[in-house]
Amino acid sequence: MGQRVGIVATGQTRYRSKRKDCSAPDMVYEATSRALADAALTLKDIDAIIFGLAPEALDGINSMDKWCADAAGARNKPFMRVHTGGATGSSVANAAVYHVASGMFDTVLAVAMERVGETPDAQTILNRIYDPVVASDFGLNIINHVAMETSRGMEAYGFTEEHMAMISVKNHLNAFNNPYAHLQINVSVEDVLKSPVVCWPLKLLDCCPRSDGACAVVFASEKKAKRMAPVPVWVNGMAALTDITVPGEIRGGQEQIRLTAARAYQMAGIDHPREQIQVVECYAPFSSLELMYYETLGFCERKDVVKLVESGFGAMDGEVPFVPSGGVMCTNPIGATALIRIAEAAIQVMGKGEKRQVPDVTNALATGYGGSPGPGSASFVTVMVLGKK
Amino acid sequence: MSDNIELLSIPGKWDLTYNYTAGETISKFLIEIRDNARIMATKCNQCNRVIVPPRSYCERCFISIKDNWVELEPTGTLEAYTIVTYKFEGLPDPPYIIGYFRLKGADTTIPHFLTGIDLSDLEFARKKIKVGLPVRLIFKNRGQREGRMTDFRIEPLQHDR
Ligand SMILES: [Zn+2]
Repeated sequence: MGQRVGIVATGQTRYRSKRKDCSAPDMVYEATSRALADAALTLKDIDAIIFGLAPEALDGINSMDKWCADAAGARNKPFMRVHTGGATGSSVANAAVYHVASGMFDTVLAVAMERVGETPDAQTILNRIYDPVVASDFGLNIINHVAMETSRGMEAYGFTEEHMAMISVKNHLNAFNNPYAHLQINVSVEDVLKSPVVCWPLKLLDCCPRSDGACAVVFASEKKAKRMAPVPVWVNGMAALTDITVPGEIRGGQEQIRLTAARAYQMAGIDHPREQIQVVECYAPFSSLELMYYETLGFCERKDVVKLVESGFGAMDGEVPFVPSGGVMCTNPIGATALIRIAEAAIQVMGKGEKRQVPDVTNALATGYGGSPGPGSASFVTVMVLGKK
Repeated sequence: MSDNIELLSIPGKWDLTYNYTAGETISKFLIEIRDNARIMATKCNQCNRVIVPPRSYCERCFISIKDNWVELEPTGTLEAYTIVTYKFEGLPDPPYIIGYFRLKGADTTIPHFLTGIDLSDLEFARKKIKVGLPVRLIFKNRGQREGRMTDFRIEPLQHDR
């Protein structure tokens, strides 16, 4: 890494299924202005803007980055859009870090948004990310892709639909502590198990909602960060990789997440994640995905995943809380979602989490995941380690 | 947020037409399905991987493999699956089973429907499906094949409904 990079501020909109009170730029302005206010900054402090937005058919407007550029504060400044599907938000953050680390920019604003509420069925659009000639006839989309990963995971890890339901219950409970969270509903294990099956083994309450919203994070060089924030959050490790493994090509799977985490840990000097990391904001839009992260992020061996779920390992009062924000299962404005993971991890290190704050956080982990490996597609995996030192 | 302002929206629709180009490699693959009812894959002689649907290049060795074709048997195994019970807009009417299948001798998998399983009782159907289930390809008759992945269906090898 070149110049050391810190996070000095975050800003988020309230997430809802439809923000009828906001135009798209209104939402970007809301997140951006809140991020600036978070560290008492003005636009003069920002040298460049990285903007994130996922497939435009979700919003129904082509290249909405152009519509939102002014609301991101881009007037007379460098601006670019980054798009890696569900990993858009974390790729935006990575690009902001690269900008600052290079030494060419001191302070860079990362801002990402989506309004998934504009279209009645996002999965129809996500069906179009696959090869139109050899893969379009089979109704593929993200939910049934994850359902396939999940049924394989159940065989490989030995978890059941009840274990998935336990994760869902935990995350819905956490969302009550997050003033920005979209879904704030009481959910029991029985509710999850009795909710309609979407793509077996995924039921409705194992799945994320479709959300409108935006998130912004300000990255700064070491010198500036120390001046701008009382508790700057240091980007101590980061890694990103591209996965083209087609479902079923390797039995077991999820190897690429393990590899990405290993690279980020090495950079951050993390060799015992379970002892060194106090909170995780993982990118898990579906309950089954969070559970598999316990292993792939190095918190346990595969054989112990079920035991950890049953013991409440990832709960707020557990050994290592996973997604105190309620996570992607309760809020998913697709292009912004992976940036929200980084914002929430940074909030934990800053100690600004209020009701969702985990005590004594010195290291926090944020992950991102975009795309879907399959014919004509690929996925993008990101891991970022944030620290107080 | 003001409570008393009526919040407006206007309807919109994207209605676009495309012709998706298959390219030389996939064209050959689909024509072999249509004309000869057989599945052809490309093989990388450097890493020995057999790729289907075929690619013109090996993404690992980064060499062209467009002229190195091998024929695959119309049998294989189910490697990933889900039973879809939800009606997605513009996608097939449920219930149906989507799977990724590894054809014998291939290193990659192909998506397709798994047919030949009675879906009137989903609980019962689920018990018949697992990773590793042996399957076979059944091609449509010559006149009905049009050079698409839907020219064949996939069903369990042991058919005991
Ligand atoms: Zn090769």
